[in-house]
Amino acid sequence: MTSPTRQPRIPANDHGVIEGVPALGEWTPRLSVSVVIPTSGSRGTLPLALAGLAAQTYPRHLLEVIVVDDGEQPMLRLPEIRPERTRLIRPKDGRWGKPHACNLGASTAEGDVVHWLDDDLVLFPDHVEAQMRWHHLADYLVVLGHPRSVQPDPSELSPNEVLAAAEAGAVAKLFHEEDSTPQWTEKRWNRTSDLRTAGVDAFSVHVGATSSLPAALFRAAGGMDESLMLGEDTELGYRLAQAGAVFVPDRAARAWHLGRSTVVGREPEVKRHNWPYLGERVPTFRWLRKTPGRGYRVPYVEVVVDARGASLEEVRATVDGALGSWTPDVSVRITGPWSRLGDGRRAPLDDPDLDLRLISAGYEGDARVTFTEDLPASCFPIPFRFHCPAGWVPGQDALGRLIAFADRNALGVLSLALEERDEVVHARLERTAALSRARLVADPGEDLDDVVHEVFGTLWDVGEKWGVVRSESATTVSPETLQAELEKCRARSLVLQDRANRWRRQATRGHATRRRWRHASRRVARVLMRRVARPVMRRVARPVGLRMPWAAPGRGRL
Amino acid sequence: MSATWGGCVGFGSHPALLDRVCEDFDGPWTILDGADPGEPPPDEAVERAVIAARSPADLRRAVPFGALIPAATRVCVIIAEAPPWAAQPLPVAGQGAAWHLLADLRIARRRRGWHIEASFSGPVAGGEVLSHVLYGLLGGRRHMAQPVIGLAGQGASGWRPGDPNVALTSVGGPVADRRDAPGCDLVLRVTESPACPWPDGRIPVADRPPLSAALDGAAHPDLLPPVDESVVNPIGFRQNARGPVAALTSRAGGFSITSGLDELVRLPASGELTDVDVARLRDVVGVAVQDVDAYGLVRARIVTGLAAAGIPVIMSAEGIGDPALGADLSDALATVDEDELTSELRREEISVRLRRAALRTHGAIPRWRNIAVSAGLALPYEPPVSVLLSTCRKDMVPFALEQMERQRGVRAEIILGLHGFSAREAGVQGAIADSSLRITVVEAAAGAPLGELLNRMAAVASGSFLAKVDDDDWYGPDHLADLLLAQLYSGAELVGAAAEFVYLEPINTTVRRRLGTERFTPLVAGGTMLVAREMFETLGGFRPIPQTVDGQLIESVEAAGGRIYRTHGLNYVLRRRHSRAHTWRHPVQAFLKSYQEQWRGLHFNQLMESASTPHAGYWRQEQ
Repeated sequence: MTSPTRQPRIPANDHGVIEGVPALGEWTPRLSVSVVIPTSGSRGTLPLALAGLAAQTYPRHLLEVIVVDDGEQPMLRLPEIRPERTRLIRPKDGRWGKPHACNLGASTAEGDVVHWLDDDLVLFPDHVEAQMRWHHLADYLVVLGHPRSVQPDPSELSPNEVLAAAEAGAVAKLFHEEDSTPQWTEKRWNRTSDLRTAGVDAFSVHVGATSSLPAALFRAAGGMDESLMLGEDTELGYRLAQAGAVFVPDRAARAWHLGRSTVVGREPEVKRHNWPYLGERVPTFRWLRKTPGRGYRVPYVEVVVDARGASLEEVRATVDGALGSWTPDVSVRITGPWSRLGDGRRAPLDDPDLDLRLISAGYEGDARVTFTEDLPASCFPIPFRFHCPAGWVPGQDALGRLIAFADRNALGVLSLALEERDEVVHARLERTAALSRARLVADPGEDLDDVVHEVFGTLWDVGEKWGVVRSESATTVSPETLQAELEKCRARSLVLQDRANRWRRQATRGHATRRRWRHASRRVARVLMRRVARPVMRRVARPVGLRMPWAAPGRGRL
Repeated sequence: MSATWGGCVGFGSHPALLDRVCEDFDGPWTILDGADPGEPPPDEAVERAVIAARSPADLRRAVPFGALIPAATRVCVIIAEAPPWAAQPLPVAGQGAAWHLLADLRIARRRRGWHIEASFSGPVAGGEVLSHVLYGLLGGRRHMAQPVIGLAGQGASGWRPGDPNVALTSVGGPVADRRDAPGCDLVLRVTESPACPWPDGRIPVADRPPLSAALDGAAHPDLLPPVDESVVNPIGFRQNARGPVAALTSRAGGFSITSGLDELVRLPASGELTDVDVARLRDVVGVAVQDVDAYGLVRARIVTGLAAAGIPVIMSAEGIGDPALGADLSDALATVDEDELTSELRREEISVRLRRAALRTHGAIPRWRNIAVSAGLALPYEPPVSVLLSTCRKDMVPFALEQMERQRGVRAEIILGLHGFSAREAGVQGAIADSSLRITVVEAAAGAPLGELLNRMAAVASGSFLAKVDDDDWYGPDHLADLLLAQLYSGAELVGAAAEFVYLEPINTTVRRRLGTERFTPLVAGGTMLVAREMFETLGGFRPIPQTVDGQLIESVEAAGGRIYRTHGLNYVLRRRHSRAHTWRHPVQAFLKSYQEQWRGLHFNQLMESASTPHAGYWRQEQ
């Protein structure tokens, strides 16, 4: 794929910084696209979808369509009305399922961009063009189309009608807008100004009904996970995000979705089905990982400890600290010259590599710990990597707090200064998505952290504040201590609550007393006025002919 | 001998307050700020003289009219309210006759103000007591320099705040002679035009229209009474003001500054702003001065007062163009953008620009220098500054000289102390020759203690102020000028900036720490200290030790009873080098512990007028 001169650097998911998004019909496409339609053929909507594709404004020589026949019975032939370059392929060896169909389609595809399309979608004529304009501006975008669901009578619509409507520019009139319902993701679009402010969570609205992405990005993310029958698009979205992708919804890429979507109506069942799968694979869905103390297929954070030049005690303190974290889905990678450790004859206590040997022996059995000689550049698809120098221990809540902080502020790299020697000894939390994107957009020779700073943020802080301390001063809190502490707080809060209540009572009693006295004083004043002042005044004033002050017009009651 | 004489000042917009603060005297009151200096001074002594002022600022306006206060055996000075930063009103006695007769002195705090009651064994001049009380309140004897001014005409009180050495006269003159000298050098008359002729040919006259009068010609800053920088100044500026944007509105008989329905400050028709009013406005983000029907020069006067106090003023383009504001202040006002006020840093930058322009154009000292020059009087030079720049790294000499070369608005000489190398060495000689600065070189052996070198440098310095700068830090072009300005309005013996901005070289990050600024506090950055020569000599200079000479100097100033003032830190970026290149007491972590904002790379704020390294990112500490 020919990339533009310089990739735009999009911070978090704010695709609004991309300049020069062309208006539809006013630009010259360059990239080819392969539309992949996985279909089971059971719903009979494929001819309509192909009819919609047949009248696209996107240049024909850049558009190919691959129909992947995933039905129980092989499809005999393609419908009559279809784009010129349309191929029909069928999975071999009895393999089936939408993710496999997609992978197969993508591997056959020749286009620079792969565009997923469900077989029950009738595209507006400029749909493909609308999505494709984004791919000409940056090569790490995942563009999402904008379908609306309608409930047509199947006999009501024929491919001919669709084609005629498309050619007449009247696809919008095929159905009534007011009878249609938006996709469930649209609420999120609205809330986040079309995902611009969605930050690191934008991937969760990745829906594969009509979306497109560069073929290279799809390959880099590892293709679709074929073990997922549902929710495969969400999981792919997660991995694309870790590969650095930005998600761009385009409301101009319109389509009619014929029939109800699977999610609507059977939502609880769909969730029940998807959650075990997604919980294993998408670590950032924290609500699916509430059980303490168990492992998952994709950990949340990979802690990297370098054993070179460190003692057993130092490495052990750091690794144990990480494994004992309250964030349970942690994996630890210890780097060191492991291949040096041979089985040759040696004096056990005077082995020059004694510490290395003890370290590797000490974690033999823990599946969460791996030993590596050269650290891979990325821990994809694990979303975070935490480099911790040996001898420094992250507290039990440190990883959780750090990641929450980094998420809240869309940080790409968070460095923690620990100690200053000739250099500053520091720990470092890296966001895989940020580093992946930085690698995608960095110029040769550019400092990667500078680029990370542009696409996410980088920040320095002190380890102490986040509970990363020297092994000598590290403390762990046992559940019993926490429980005791909690009890103490509860008791204290009861005492304080009691005191507050007492004060409140006193305060209101004070109010009441004051009110009572005020009323009493007014009453006394009235009585005095009536019984004493007025008779006296009358007696005095009448002979002199004075006006009574209380008889003056406009005076209120005294 | 009548019983009690009462004089009040500053209560025009708060008449009820006068009765509240002074229960034992019902009047009649002589209104000192409205008095005509031409009235004959009272010749009969009274039993008790009460002088009530709403604020220290008002008290300073009463000082020139001290001669109108009759002699009394009991003098009572009442200050209804003093700003939080003001010192206590302990009289600082001079050689005056009054204090020899002192029998009893009581100083009591009354709510937010003060009540001073002094009894004497015989009648004393009330004005003298008044000015000595003020010296204590604002720290030291501070009144304006030459020339000696004569005041005439109603409304002249605002022109010479805090100056007891004025001559009072009537609009028609003449000025009574002093012993073997004319009564004054220049007379300022506040009078409607056309003015009546002036009889005394020896003394030039400057006529000023009353503030509310329509102007004959074009407006000009010199037509406005000056801002009294000793009281209306940035002291107490709040960096994290959370309030709304207040608005200036007219009311019957004056103006108010309101925020929603709350009236924050009430101003008299003359637009006089006091220190107490400023203190009340510290929480507002800015003041909008949009459609106020203030006639004549009053609006400009209010705006100059607010700007001098560092309160951002939002004005329409038409208002900004008012020639009475002066070009500098108009330019500074034009940069105020209401949206930017939400950012603390932007707001402070705006505030610093405003206060600089306002204090340099409208402060009492520049104003009187201008008036005196236009009347043809010769003036003493402004106090020069000697910059003490010592370095032990010859590669830093060009950088350090460049930082000083860009200083503007001051007369400065450089005393360059070379610690362990000679001025004849390659890079050094060239740098000194290329510089346009007046440089005096002092050399010392590498083993000599730093304090000793600095003392030798100070000995060859000729300035009235000594400024110590470091060789590797960055200084904004107004660094020295702002320090001098801060010295002027704070009256402190030692002035310094806060090391708010720190560039942490080992991790290529700039942080801004939260340090309260614009306040009296003994913690200032060592590379920004400016000390008055007089105080420096009183102390005997730096301690002759190799390290922490800055901290030791501060301690000696404190011990000698001097005051230390910390001004804003926007002109200074401290460079925290690699630990291997320098001995640092604080590790990098210490700077990161309390940062408020953070930038990747070397970042300069706008006032530094330098280019930051190009990293757009910026980070603000979560609240």
